[in-house]
Amino acid sequence: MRVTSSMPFNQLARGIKEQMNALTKLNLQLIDGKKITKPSDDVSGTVEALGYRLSLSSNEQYQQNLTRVKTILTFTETQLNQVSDTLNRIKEMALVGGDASITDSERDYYAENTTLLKGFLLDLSNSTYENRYLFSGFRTDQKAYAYDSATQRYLYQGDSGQIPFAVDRDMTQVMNFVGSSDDPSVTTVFSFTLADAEEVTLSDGSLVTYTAVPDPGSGTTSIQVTISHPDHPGDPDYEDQFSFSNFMEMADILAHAWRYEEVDGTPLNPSEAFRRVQAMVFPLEKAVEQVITVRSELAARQIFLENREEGLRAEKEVLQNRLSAVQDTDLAETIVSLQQVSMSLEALRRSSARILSQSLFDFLS
Amino acid sequence: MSLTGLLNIGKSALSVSQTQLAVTSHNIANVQTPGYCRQEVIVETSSWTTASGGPVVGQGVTVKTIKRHYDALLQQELFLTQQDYGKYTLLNQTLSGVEQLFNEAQKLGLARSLTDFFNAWQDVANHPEGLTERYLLLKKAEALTATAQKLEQGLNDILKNIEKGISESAEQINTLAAQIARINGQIMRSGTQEGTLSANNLRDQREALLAELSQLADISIFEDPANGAVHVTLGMRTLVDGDTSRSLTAEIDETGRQTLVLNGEDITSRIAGGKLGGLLTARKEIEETVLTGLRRFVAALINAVNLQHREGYGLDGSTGNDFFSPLQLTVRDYSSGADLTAEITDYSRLTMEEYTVRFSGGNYYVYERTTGELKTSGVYEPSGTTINLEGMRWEISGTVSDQDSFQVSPLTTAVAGFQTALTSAQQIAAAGSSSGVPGDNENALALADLIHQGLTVLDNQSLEDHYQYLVAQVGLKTQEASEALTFTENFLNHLNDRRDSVSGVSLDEEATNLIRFQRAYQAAARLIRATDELFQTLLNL
Repeated sequence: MRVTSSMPFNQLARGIKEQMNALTKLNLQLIDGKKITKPSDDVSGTVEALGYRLSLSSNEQYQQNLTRVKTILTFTETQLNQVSDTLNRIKEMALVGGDASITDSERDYYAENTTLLKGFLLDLSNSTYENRYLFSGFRTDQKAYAYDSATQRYLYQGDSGQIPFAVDRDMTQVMNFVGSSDDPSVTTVFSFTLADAEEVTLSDGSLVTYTAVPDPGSGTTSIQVTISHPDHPGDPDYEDQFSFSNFMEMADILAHAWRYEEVDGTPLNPSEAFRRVQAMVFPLEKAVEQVITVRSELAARQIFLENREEGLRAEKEVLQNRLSAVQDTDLAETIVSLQQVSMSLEALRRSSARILSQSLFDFLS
Repeated sequence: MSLTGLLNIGKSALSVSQTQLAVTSHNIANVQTPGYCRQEVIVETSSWTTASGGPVVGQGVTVKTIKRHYDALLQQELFLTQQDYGKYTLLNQTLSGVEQLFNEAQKLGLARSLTDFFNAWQDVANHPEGLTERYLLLKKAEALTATAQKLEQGLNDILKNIEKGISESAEQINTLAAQIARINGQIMRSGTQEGTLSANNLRDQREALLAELSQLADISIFEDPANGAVHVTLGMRTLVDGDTSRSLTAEIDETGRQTLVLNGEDITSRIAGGKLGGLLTARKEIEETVLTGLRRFVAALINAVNLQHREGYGLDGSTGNDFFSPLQLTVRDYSSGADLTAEITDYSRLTMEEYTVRFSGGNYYVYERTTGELKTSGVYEPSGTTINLEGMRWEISGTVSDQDSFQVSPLTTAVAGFQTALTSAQQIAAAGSSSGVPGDNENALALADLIHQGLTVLDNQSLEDHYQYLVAQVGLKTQEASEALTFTENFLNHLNDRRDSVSGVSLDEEATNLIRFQRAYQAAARLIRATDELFQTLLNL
């Protein structure tokens, strides 16, 4: 091939341009620490990195969700512990206070204490976290329970709403517990239901029947309590009937029984009153069991959340590592490449300077 | 032979050497002139004559021609490669600008705003009664709409520059065509044939201009052997014919785009190479792939969010509200006297396609704009024709001809009209039940999950997957242009080297020639001196 004067110059210019491009690219990679500076550098790498960043963003959001809900569940747990303690204290009093041998002052003490504890239960049922009522289902702006002086009942103002939150893609966990529900599959904190009618025999031989009656109208389930004596069938002195639909009403019935009266103030004879106290022991045991069930479910949710949190942390680490592998510059490799390109450029400049400086004209005199 | 004959031989040798020295000097002087072809003096002996009774001797030397070292095939190949080089240089530059808008590697683009928006829905789901979370969601929605609009604005700015580039290129082409025609005229008028210094130089100038023109558009060149003029065509229409050139004009059509008209014919679709071809290809790629892709993505997002949002209930109990301003149909009327009105009747059935309505033989035909797939057809009634198609109702009336058409698109204003439609945070429909209860977050969760859900209008891709696809498309287009440019540049360099090898000036070669011709000149002068001495000898007898 015939070599002409402009060819070495053109080749030098091209060589320098290529080396400078390589040098600039490596330099950019060192400046921002990324080996992909624009999508066309590595299209599949860019898309892969973008996918990891989107997944990381979701992952961080799920972790935030978890943190928030864990806080709510921890708060709920402390409230449930107090509900449990309160119910146990009422149950202890019912166990010893259902006997006519107790003194009037003991009876007054039980009545007074149960009334106080009922108020405490009501406060607990209306617990709020960040201005939302915890046990009202979806009706977080409403107190879960309110006393209705007309009916002398504690009315449930919430619903059975189970509030889910996202813990991962296509995975949710319910964050709340409701106070009451007419749906037996829903776990409730301040009421319980019975799958079948239950019977208990009292110390005087009276038979107590407990039946759960769901009421879709109020969204609650009430427990109907019927007391009768097999030896005195049809005798009004031995027959009694009342109902309750939450723990506050249970405490109210008890407190009034110790005062020898119905919740509406209608007098009860002492034997009837003590039968009521004894008849409330079984529901109180059920109530305590119910709270234990709720606490177990809460603990299970917490364990699930802990596991999910661990899972999300591990996933985040994997995503970060992959993202780093795809987009981050390998500093050692890049610096070595940079040195190689610098050396090539230097060699090109030196050799070109020698070749280009020579011409036959230099040797003509 | 007489002594005078000897003097004539010396004179011819001196003259030829002078010409050779002149051509060598010209070569040296043009060593850096772009497009210059090395020249060489081809000499031959003067005609033979017979001396009376003696042997045959020559009468000296003469210049046969001045050869221009030039490879016509190579030059043609060079012109073609320059067309590709011009095209891919422009395409690479333009698509790099588009790529920068979507440069997710530098955290530009839409991904962050998109995830922030859907994460904000999760925050609302976590605290559906919280007004703070609701206000934050509205702010994130504003950020998302602003980012999408910024992207569209960036693309529109690039498209505006392309339109400007098209008209500028047309002007440059006209200037070059006029210059080529002028040189053609000079070559034709002077009757210069190849082999003289002036004809060679005019051809060099013309080739440099043709090379420049090749970088601008995919021209075809044909040299008329009869008069030496080149005939240049562009888009199968004549641009330069002898000493006259035609004007390429950039005209704006009804869509606002520039079309290129030569000799009264629209040749836009026939231009595929050079800078102009690059500009037209870039415009098509950006409009049909990137801009339409972005609009389809935003339209799918708006519609999916709205459809889900309508299902829910706000804190104020309101329901059926759109979260974003709903999509609007845009109608482009390419008819002489007909009218088409369009409305969306069922947002859930929208396919996010664009449609073309054409008429033929008293029937209407509706095609999907990009694929040309026939969607529906029927008899056209000029008094009023109703077409119900994929969640839309169109009413067409008026007299139509077979040349008339309409374009209907739900995408054109998707990004420009991308804004939140809610007037208060209370209206955010987080609840899924009709009672409007504040703790209900069912709909908020469903909305938060939309980013991961496959959407039919996006070929069952989720929003995040489709956005990744969009970024990949932009990256791939740029990568293709960059690779094509690298290949073409390397090939062009190779061709330039080959051309330089044939036509370039070597200073060492010229230096050698300089010595050679100088020596020849000295020898010729010596011959004259020797003859002179012979004359003196004779005169002194």
